[in-house]
Amino acid sequence: MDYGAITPFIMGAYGVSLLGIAGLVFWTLRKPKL
Amino acid sequence: MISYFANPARFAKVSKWLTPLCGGLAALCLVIGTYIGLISSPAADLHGEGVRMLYVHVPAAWCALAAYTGLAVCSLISFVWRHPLADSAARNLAVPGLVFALLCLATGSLWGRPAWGTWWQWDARMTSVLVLAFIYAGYILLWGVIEDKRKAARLASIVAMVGFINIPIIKFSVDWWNTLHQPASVSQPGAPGMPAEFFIPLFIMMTGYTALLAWCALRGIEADLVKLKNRRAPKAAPATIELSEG
Repeated sequence: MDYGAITPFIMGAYGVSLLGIAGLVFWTLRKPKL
Repeated sequence: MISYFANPARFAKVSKWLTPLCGGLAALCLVIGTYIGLISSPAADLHGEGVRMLYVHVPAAWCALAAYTGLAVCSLISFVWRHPLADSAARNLAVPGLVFALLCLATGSLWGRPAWGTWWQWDARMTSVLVLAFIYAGYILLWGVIEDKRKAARLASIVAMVGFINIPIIKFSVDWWNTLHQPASVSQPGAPGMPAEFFIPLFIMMTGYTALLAWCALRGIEADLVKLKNRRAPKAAPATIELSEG
């Protein structure tokens, strides 16, 4: 995936989002289930 | 509606099918949306390839605002009717809301650098979203530091309701003040609207983020119900040793 000079910014935005979502999912999965 | 979900057993019954549905929908939409956003969607005329950041930035902003609106409504219900499920819902929307607010700020900053030439600007939209993140953090801290949970619920509800004033400020900041941030693209009245090739991935990602927010909140409420159930369950009788006589 090459978007030219803007590639690091796009990858950074998707990477940060992935990390945030993954963190949220793992944090939620640790909770006890009904 | 409020009295319908006032019953934890009824909530558990709905949550049993709604929680996995939200989780599955979130996973599906996030995978498809990321694929379309990164690979199969075209570049825009104005933003070029940078438009791909729209598909992670706008859903995060939407969820940060939606989570806070839900938190404020639940806080109002908790404040007026003192409903423990409303307290639980409000508390369980706070952490996902904070994460989405931080994601909105981070992805906006990453988009702002190539688009505006700056990582950050103290303009109305960015500053009001930063204030939202601080309100979320303050709300979470209040629950954490006050030991008496009934007192914490009252105080946190007041903070959440007062903080709601920031939501219309965020929404209309781009209309009320001269900001770097562009006005609303989707809901602008009279505007031609967003072309389908950009709207479809945005819609899929927004559905995925919203389903994820709902899943996090529902799982959190379920966990609170489990804790409540364990607290109310009668303790096991202490083990006794029978001594035989003689």
